[in-house]
Amino acid sequence: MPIKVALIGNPNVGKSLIFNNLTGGRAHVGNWPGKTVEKKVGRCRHRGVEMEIVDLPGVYSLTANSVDEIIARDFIIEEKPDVVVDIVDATNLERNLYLTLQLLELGANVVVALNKWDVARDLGYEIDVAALSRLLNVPVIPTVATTKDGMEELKDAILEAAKRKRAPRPPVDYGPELEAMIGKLESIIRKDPELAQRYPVRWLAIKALEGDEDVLGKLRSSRVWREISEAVGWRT
Amino acid sequence: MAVRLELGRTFMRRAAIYSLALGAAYWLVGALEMANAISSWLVPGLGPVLKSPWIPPDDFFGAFSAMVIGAVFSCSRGLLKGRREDIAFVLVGTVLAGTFGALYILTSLAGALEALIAGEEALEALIEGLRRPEIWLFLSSLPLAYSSWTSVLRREGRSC
Amino acid sequence: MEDLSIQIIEKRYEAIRHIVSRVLRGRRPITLSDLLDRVFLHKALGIPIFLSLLWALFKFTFEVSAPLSDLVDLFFSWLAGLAEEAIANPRLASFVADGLCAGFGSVLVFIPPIFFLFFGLAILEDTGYLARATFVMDRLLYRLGLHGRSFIPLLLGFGCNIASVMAARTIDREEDRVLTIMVSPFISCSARLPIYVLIGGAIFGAYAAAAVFSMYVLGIFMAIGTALLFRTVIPFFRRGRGALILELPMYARPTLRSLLAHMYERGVLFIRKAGTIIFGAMLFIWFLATHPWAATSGGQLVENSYAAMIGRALEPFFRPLGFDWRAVVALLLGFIAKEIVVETLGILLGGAGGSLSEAVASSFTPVTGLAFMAFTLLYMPCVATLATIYSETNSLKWTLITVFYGLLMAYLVAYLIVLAGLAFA
Repeated sequence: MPIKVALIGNPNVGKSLIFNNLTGGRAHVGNWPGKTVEKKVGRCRHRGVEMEIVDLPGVYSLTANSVDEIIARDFIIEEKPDVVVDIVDATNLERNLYLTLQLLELGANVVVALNKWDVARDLGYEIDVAALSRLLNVPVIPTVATTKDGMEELKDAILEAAKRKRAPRPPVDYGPELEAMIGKLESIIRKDPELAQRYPVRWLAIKALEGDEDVLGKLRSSRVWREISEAVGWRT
Repeated sequence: MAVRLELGRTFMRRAAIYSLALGAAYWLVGALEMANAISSWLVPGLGPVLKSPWIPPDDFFGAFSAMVIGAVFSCSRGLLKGRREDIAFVLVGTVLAGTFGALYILTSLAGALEALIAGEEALEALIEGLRRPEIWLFLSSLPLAYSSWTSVLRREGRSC
Repeated sequence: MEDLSIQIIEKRYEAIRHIVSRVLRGRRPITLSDLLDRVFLHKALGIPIFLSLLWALFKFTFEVSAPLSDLVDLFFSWLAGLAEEAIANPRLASFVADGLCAGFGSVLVFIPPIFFLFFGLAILEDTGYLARATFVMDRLLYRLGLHGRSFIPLLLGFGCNIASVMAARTIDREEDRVLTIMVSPFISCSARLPIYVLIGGAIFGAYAAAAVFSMYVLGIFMAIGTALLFRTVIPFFRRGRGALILELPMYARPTLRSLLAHMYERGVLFIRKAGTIIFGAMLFIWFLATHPWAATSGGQLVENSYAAMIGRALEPFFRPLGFDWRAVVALLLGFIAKEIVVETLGILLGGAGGSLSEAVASSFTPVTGLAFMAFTLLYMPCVATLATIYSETNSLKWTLITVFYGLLMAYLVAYLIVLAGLAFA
């Protein structure tokens, strides 16, 4: 059974190049079902282990606002890949980490590929990789996709992560007020075993508070919907 | 990629003069081509006013592009006032000159190939194509391109 | 609730800033990208530079690839000729020559321009310039109901609509992509030009240029109008048209490897999907134009073919527009490729004595001539484009909407022209 690996990241971070490096440029190209967005799937074999690699669309975050984001999000939730490789542009840390946080909140098993490491260095940046890894609680591998630097380490990290598969620690503390609301919603949502089993509960709660249309749609069809909307005081 | 903007005054002055000269040349070429284009297109039945093998008879967009390159090169006059960042206009000017020079060379070759396929004189077609002024302006911009780009790039690298 | 979501997003950014401050050190000196952007994003020079580079892409795609297309054409014509001579059975010969060879030829002739196009686009994309171009054109296009990224694909439509549809791949949001694709058939492609020149020249004489130009303008207006119409009326397109959030990547020197990879990837997709459909359609239309075999004397007398019968059957619908059955057949066959309209008119109208121009002048009045030109502009893209639309949108629904909307608009506009003609007469 090959390991299911998803590649994700902001547009223009070098995701395609890393995909090609991992799969040797051989990929099955098609469209996501019913959409006009390109879907690429490839294979990679490392230390005797087969990996199936899916290239998700380049996105800045995981809201429900564009088709690309919905495709990426749905893939992670429904297909539950074993590892999600988040490709982060080292020259643009702040913006790229926004997606990383969302992935962690979604409960994905993340490995960060810190790409364009060479450019960051040329620009005069110094990044403490160990500290970043510690703060995010996920492995962080510096890579230079154009010269294939770091690819072996990345593949090793993917295999390691696939083995461990632990639940990530919530990366963001939303402050006492919000956390209280989140907690309340979580306990309501847990009353619906269907929802609780299918999706990460904390993620549902946070997204619901954010007003995410897609999540609200999922919640509306649940039997605890009325409780939820009462708890937060919304109009349905 | 970090960039070295410590350009000497003499260098800036020379670059500016070279660049402004090229700019004027491109403006001139553009204007002549535009005259032909306007007369061919807008005035029914007139045809090109300047019947020279060196000036295309009805290339409106080519004329426009030449004028754009002229405009870019002309903006480098800021260098004379000491504004170092205006070297950017020289850099982009040479890029545009290169793009169009290469383009017209390629179209000349393609034209020659087409003639060859159709059984006509390929060499003639090639020479005719190479009479495009922008090709020669491009060639004369090469020294400027070399000196301006090398003096600006501090380190070699794939991305910048 | 708005309040809550803002709070949540702010907390996230707080967390990120905390992380980054502990992890990142160093300052950002002035880069080459900053320098270049002074010019490429210049308030006055930005758009003109873009237009020139676009023109260069256009010229590169069509002129430089032309000899290769010629070779393909020549090869298949030669092959067809060979087939006609070598194959004894006339029907089989016609099938191979006019069906198979013409079929393959019509697909493969697109390959050089498509591959050159994708190569050129890859250069613009990989260097990082495309992002600047989009930024520079966006404000104008936003007001016209289109997305900034639609500009290049639509402009490419003036050469070939297929190029438009395929270039739409660079647009990341599906709603904008589909809208661009739906609107691109209205852009007057180069295949329609021979039709304009023939009819315009025959009927309008000195004002031919104005008539031709009016078709281009009509196309642009229809494209913009359709975009605005669809945006306001169809809910699918109304979905959150966010402002253009654009990241400007740094300029980079593209590697030949990645350029060729991009070109190959997208080009091959075109060949595989659109190619099979185009090819099939060609064979079908060959059949219609050459059968019943005996009646048409082996494909020579188109008047007796099924195609002509269909044309005659449809004639009543087109009589208000002033088209006779031959024009209808030409339009029908024009579905294969708009260039065929001229050929068909040539076969059906001309023949011995008198030029095609004269024959056209006698079959069309200035009003019906203009109406015919408008009809060919709008009525629906050629089969190659339609196949590409289908393979790019992956949706039968949108493809059919394109067809019907085009036919409807074509008929309406042509009819309005005829009415206007009557009013002024």
